[in-house]
Formats: sequence, structure tokens, C-alpha cells
Amino acid sequence: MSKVKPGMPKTLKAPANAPSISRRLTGGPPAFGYAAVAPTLLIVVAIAGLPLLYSLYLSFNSINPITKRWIFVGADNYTSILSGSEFWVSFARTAYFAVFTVAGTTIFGMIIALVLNERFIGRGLLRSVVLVPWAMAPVAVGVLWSFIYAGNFGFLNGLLHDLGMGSSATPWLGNGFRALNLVALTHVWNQTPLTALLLLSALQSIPGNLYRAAILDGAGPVRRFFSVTLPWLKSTLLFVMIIATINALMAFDILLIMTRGGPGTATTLLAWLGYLESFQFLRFGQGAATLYVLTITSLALAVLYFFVLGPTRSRRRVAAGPQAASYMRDMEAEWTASAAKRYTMATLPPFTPRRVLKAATTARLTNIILLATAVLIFLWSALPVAALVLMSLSPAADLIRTPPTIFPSAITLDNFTSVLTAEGGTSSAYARRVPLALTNSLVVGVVVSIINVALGTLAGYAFARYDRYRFFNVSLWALLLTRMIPALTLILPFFIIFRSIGLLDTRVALIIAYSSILLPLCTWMMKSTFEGVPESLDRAALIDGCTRTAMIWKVLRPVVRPGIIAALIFCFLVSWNEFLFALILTATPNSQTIPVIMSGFLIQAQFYEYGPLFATSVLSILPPVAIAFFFQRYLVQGALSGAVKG
Amino acid sequence: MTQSLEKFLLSRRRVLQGGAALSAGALFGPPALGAPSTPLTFVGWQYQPQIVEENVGIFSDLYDESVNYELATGDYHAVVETKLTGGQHMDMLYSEEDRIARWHTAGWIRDLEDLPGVDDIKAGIFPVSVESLSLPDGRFAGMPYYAGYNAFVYNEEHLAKARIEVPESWDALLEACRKLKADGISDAPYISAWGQRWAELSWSIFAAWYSEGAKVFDENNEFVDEPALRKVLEAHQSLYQEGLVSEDIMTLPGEGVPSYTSGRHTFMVQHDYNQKVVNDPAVSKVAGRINNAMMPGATRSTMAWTACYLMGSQPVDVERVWNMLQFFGGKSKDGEYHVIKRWALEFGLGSGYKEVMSDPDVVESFAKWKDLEVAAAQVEIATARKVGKEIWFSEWDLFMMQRVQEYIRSGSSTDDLVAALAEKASELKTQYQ
Repeated sequence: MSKVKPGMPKTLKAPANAPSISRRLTGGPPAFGYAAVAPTLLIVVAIAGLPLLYSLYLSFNSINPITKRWIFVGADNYTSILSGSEFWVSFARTAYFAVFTVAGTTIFGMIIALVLNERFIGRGLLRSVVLVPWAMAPVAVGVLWSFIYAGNFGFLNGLLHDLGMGSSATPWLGNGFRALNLVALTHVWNQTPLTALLLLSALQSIPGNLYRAAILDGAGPVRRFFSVTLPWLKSTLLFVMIIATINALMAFDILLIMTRGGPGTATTLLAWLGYLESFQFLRFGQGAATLYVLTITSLALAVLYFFVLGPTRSRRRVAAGPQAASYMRDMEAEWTASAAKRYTMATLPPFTPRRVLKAATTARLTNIILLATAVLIFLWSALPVAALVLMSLSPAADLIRTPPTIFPSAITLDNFTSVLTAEGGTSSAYARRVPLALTNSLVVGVVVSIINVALGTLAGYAFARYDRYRFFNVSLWALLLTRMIPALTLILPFFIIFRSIGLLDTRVALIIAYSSILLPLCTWMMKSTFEGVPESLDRAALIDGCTRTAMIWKVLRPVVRPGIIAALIFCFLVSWNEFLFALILTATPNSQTIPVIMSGFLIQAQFYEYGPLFATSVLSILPPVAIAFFFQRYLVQGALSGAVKG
Repeated sequence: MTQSLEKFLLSRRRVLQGGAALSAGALFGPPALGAPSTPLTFVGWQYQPQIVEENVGIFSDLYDESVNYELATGDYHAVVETKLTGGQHMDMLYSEEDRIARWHTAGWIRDLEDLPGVDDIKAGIFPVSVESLSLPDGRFAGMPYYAGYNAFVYNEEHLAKARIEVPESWDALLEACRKLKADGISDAPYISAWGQRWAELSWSIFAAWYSEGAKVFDENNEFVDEPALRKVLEAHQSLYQEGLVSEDIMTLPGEGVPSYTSGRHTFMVQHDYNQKVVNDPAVSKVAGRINNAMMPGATRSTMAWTACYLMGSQPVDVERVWNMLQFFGGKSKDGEYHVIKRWALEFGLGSGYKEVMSDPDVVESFAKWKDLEVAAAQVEIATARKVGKEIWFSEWDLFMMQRVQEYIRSGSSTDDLVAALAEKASELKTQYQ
């Protein structure tokens, strides 16, 4: 998203009376630029790059840890998986899943964003509520929806029975194709808020005069949407679709909890296939190859994204450095082209009033539709979470009643008591681990967020200001590459490395592992944020005698504060919700985080312990949901400044 | 001694329930005075871990030991194999019998043959369990955690309503299910664990295969395409295609047991100890109405297994780890089967030890929720899965579950399925040579 808005080409040319820029500012990237990105690059190379190379190497080998056979096979693993029907069936299923979820998140996200962009009573509350599904860990989402879809005791069937539609009760996950669609729908529910957030921020950047002009020309709401809104959102839409595609390709946690690839192979997507190959069959070579095919697919889509959005990106650059003159010429040409484009966009047919309804009636109808849609969005976002809360407050016996009903026979805190105190009567070892797991998640989340945002801010600044230089440009691409790689490929290398340095089963291991995901992301987010800040601010501060560090701290930090807060929130949520690394790298309550405990609870809990399981789920979503609720303002602002993008 | 141990357990439970801080202290506090500085590591799966924690505490106190108990989450065997591949040290770990040979070949565990008292221990274990716990060359490699088998249970009330007898063959079972459904007594008369976890469809269909007399794999562990194998597959496909099982049977939680406790179903092939749960009035609507019968089929056999404790290949101290294995999987140093007996009395888990299974307390306890004569007859002719000693078997097993699920759901050709299963076995044998 660009902060340089149409009609505002003021950063293109420096004023004639502006002080001359010193050589140290124009002759090339200063040492500060390299110093700012060095920690990030070194850390990413060390904790993500090397393991990735290791797993890439694995993909060229046939490895059997049981027979200790390790043979270099070149590209055989790739040719073998690409020639197998199982792979292509999974690939087709993955493509279907991706199309379903991308279309779903985009359409629902657009509707939600359009509604949230309007003014109505309760908009602030709704903005917070719609973020809740995104704040929940995929493991918690899987637990919740598994029990919503459950055949005998499920919440959905309970609702149908309560509505007198018991004959429509269905074993929802029984049919393979339906199961695939329901898992996809669950993924859509989880991911739509992110799309809505990004689209909302783009909507808020549309100048109001475009709409006013369109209205004056007689364009109705539908025409305004297609002639003004949609063209303006084009780049953001493409971006969110690509992000949604990557998220769909990497989907794993929800599958693990909900269907495990079944029934049969009906929900076996490529990520699940990679898991089976790598960890169920211990074919690390073939598994790595499968996951790298997934990576290449993601990368191809990412390249498509950058190809499509390239021209928009260059608009944000600020003229400086040796290429300034030619760059400014490019910018001006581009500006002329984009202005012409906008002119075309704003051209509307002659005014032909065709009112069927009176203006007042139209306004009333619009309000009714708006409010009805807002209510539906509220229900879509909040009802499943409310179901979770209700189930956590129900007596355990209620959860296995047949026929099912959503109304509890009593409201009780017993389930919470049993997971928070040893006196609650639960027999589960997992229940007793919940308080410590919450602490671990909190500590890891806070530390990871602070470290990554601090380093990411420094690096983001340098990448934003010097990305026209080859070193920075290439480094940035290398960082972005890590976003396209499934976490599954890193697990074994991480385990081996952490074991060798004695960090297994520690919070430090998690902090390092999470940084491999978050540092590139954070850098990318902060780079986008700094791109929205005019470089003239830097120059003014430097001319006033600030050091670069002081300039970032005193001048830029207050300006990018919303972006920093958004990045902090984002890092915390990703860390809190992460499951795979925590599953393998932790072993005892010393370091296990809440998604691991929940997953263990789900597997271990006897059916008469579902109550404590739901109580644990509620406890696990409280901190992220509270953050989403109270800091949604910053998330929207952060998205507006380009900080939330993944 | 048992009474004193029960008092000790009771007091310990109170301690554990005394508060989170105390509990955490018990978990993470320093080891007992005089305990060795290097703790033993014990990795376990997710069945009643709170009991395991208590047992670890008791062992530590009784033996003045220090133990790190790691509770593996998720797919136990996959997670443990990943960690072992990564080089994690383990002194003692849980396992199903079909991983013993595999892990031994990988060099992750050692056999127990030369340890003191092994011959006496083996003499006290049922032969079928000794076989299960041994390596292909006969060396003893695991101490028994529990011994189980898949039991055929039925709802007496449903059968009385339908005026039918307990079916003795798979054809009779299908007929009974059709009648129960037609009479409106049960909309899904049959249920079993048909999910893809390691203790679900694999165990239940092997039980059915053995009950019909299918070998599945011969003495050389070659896959055997035979009429009995096909008949069972076709019976399973018919159960699904005719709507005699719930449509979501392959994704049901809790191995289908919660669904059975609702009273919706009549027949179930389930792990024998689950009969205690379904006959427990606190959690089951059908408590007191569920009885066990011999498996339907030509031979009436079933699949039996023995889960075990294994010793890591590089124990910190063989004697200390051997003590722990004996405490958990045999007799404590006071000569009592504390842990094993506790599993039996509190959770209905059977034992590989003859002495435990004939213990009056255990007999009295088991008699409350199952027909002991039928159970004894069933165990007598149960079949251990010898092919589990092949190091490639677990991989074939998961492949089989996926394919059989697809076959059942789609109504596809039995020929194709059997050919695919045979081909996979052959391919894996070659790969693992």
C-alpha cells in the first residue's frame, strides 16, 4: 500500500532552495545501512538459511534412518514425486483448497471491509470482534470447529435440533468432499480478518473527493464500487490474494487437528503429504522434496505478485542518490501514466438519473442492508467463539448428550477450576500444565516480539531507504524467500542444531526458532512502514545534526509508532499461536507452550473431559483476543502504514 | 503391602491436589536427597499421564532416584522417531510392539536378554506376550506395559428388542445390522475405531481379519491375498455403503467410544479395556447393558498386542534404568506389581503377567464390567501380529489404513485394493533391505 497518494506528487522534486545533500547521503549506502541490516541478515542466515540449505540438501538424498542408508540421488526424489499420481491428486486437492480459501477470504474480507468502512453505531466493537478468529491459534480453531461439526454431539447439530430441524442433523465430516470444503471454510473463517484488515486500510486511503465526484455524476453505489473502489483496491486485492494463497498452501495445523488428511485421503493436501513422508515414514528426502515443490509454487506466485505490483512499488521511492535524475524522470513518467489511468478510472457516463426509489427510501434501505450485514458479520465472527465459551461453561456431561442441544443444563466454572487449580478434580496431567504453558507462551511471545521488532525496525529502515542498491535488494528478496517455505522443512534441522548446543526443551530454543519466521516478516513489515514516511524527514533531522541512530529514535520512531505497535502485536500473535516448532522442540512443562498443551489435551482427554479441554481453549485465546480487541485501532493504523502484511 | 501402597498413593494424590504451587514443586523441584545427579529420562505417550507422573514420583521416592518424565504430544511414534533421529537421549520409552524391531535395527534401543532376572520374568509372562516383546531372533527386548486385544461387544437390550442372537459370522453380523436398522432400533448398528491413528482402523481390521482366519502376511511376511481377507474387506465396505455405520465413523473422536456410550449403536469391536468405560454409569448411557462376545468370523480369533517399555541403547546407567523398567513393567523391589496392578484395577488394562491376571483383586474388578469366561476364551485364541516385527510394517500399516478407508468410502474394487496393498508391501521390503 502506498502512502503517497494520487494527487500528491510533492516528494518527487526537492525544492530549489533546499540545502544541498551531502555526499555521505547521496554517494551510496552509508555504513549505517549495512550495520542496520547486519544483525537481521546474520541471524536469518544462521537460524533459517543454514537449516533451509540443509533440508534442501536432504531433498537430493534418499535417507532411511532405520537402516542408516543415506544415498545421494540427485533430482530423483523430485522426479519420483512428480511422476506419482498420489502427488498430483494431492496437488489438485491443494489447488481446489487454495481457490476455495482465496475466493472465500477475498469475498468475505471485501464485504467485511466495506461494512467496517462505513459509519454506524457499534463499528468499533465490530472491528474488534472480526479480528478474533484471526487472533486464535489454528490449533484452537481446529479444536473448536471439530466439535462444531461433530456428528453425535456437535454444536451445529445441537443448534439444528434446538431449532426443530433435527432431521437435518448431519455427520458433517463423514463425507470426504464435504470434509474438504468444511476444512476450507474453517480456514476461511480463520484467515478472513487479515484480508479484511488490509482491504479496510486500503479503503480508508481512497480520497473522498472521488466518491463525491462520482455521486455528482449520478453513479449509484454499485457503479461507484466497480468504477472507483475496485480499481483503487486492485493492487491490494492482488496482494491479499497472494498472501491468502501462500497461507492456503502452508495450511497444516487445522488439518492435523480436524481430519488428519482423512477420511481416506479426502483432505490430504500437499503440506500433509509432506508431513506424512517426512515424519510418519521418515523419508526425509522425499518429504523435503514435496515441501520444496510447495515452496516453488509459493515462490512462483510471489514473483507473480511482485511482477504485477512492481510499478506501484517504484512510485514510493524517493529521489536521492546518483540515479536520482533518471529515477525522477521515471517517476514523472509513471506519475503521468498513473494520472491518466486515474482519469480513465474517474470517467463516468453522462448523468442519467434513474431513481426507482425516493432518496430517503434508498437511504433507509441502505442503512437496513448495512446493519443487517453488520449483524451477519458479527454472528459469523462471534458465534463460533461464543459456542466455545458456552461449551467451556457447561457441565462435562452436557457435551455428550444425545440428541445434542446448545443449551447447557447449568452454567459452571468447574472446567476452568480444573485446569487452573489442582483442586478442581480433573485427573489430567495436561490440565495441570495449563498455567505454566500460559506463562511460557507469554514469556516467549513478549521476548520474541521485542527482539524481532527492534531488529526488524532497524533493518526495515535500511531496506526502505537503500533498496535500490543491489546488496539491499538481493538481501530483501532472500529474506522474503523464507516466507514461502513451510515450517515443516525446518523442524529436523532445528532439532539437530538445538540438541547439539544443548538448547532443546528451552524457551530460548523457541525464541530462536520463532525468530526464523518473524525476523524476515518483521523486517518486511517495518520496511513497508518506513516507505510511507517521506525521506525529507530523515534529511531534515540529519541536517539538524542528528546522528542516524538519534534520527530513528527521536524523529522517525514517533512517526512509525502505529506500525511498530502493529508489528509487536503481529509478532506476539504468531508466536503465541505457533504449534509445530513447539511440538518438536519442547518436551517438558519447562518450555511447552499452550498450543502444544491443547493438542495433547485433545488427544489425551477422555470424552468426559471435553469440558476442561474447552476451558483450556478459552484460556488460550484470551490473551490474543484481548490484544485484538483493545489494540485493533493500532492494527488498522499499522495496516494503513503497510505494517501488517502476512 | 498393597494397602500400604494405596495409602501412599492416596496421600500422594492429596499432595498433588494440594495446590498448583506444590504440584509444580513436585514436578520441577530438586530431586530427592541422595538421588543421582544425572536423572533418568522417560518418554511416554498420552494415556492417563497424571497416573504416570504419580508412578514416576513413587519410583523416585522408593528408589531414591531422579527421573525426567517427558510426555510426548501428538503422533507419539512419529514424534519419538523424529527425536531419536535427531539424537535425543532416552533411557526408557513407551512403544507398541510393532516398533521394537524397527527401533532396535535403528540402534535406538537395546535388548534386555542379559539383564538379571530376565528368565524369571519371561517365565511369568503369557507366551503370546513374550513373543510380542521379543526381537525377530527371539531376544527379549521390552517389559510389558499392558496387554490388550480387540473385543466384540454388544448391547443386550438392542438384541432383545430385535429378538436376534449374537452374530457368529461376518455375514450374520451384516444381517443383524440390517434388521436392527430396519426395525428402527439403531440407525447405525455397528461401530469401531476406523480412524487413521495407529490404534484405530489398523487394529480393528486386523482383529476382523484374524477372526475370519486371514493370515494377511505369511511366515515369510509376504502379503497373502486370500478369500478371508477379501471377505472382511467386503463386509466393511458393505457396512459403510449400506449405512449400517455412521457416515463420520472415520473421523470420530475417542476411537468411537463416546459415540457408543450414547446408546446409538449395537455392536462394537473395541479395545477390551474400553468395556469398563462403556459400562460405567458415570459416563455412559448404556452402562450395564454392554456384554462381550467372541468375535464373529470363521475362527473367532482376534488381534492381541502387548505395549511395552523399552530401554534406550545408551542408558545413563543400565542398573538404574533396569530398576525403572522393572518397577513400571514388572515387579518392584518389594516383589509387588504396583504399577501394572494399578493400571488393571483403575483402568481395566490387562496384563501380560499370568500372576496379575489371576490376582483375586483384578479378577473381582474385571468381573464387574465384562464376562471373564468369554474374555478368557477370546484371549486363548487371540493372534499376535507377527508381521509387526518387520521394520517396514508401520509404514505399510498407515498406507493400508488410508487405502482401506478410501476403498470403504468409495465402494471401489477389492481387486484393486488388494493389489495395491500387496504391491506396497513388496516395495517396502525392497526399500528396507
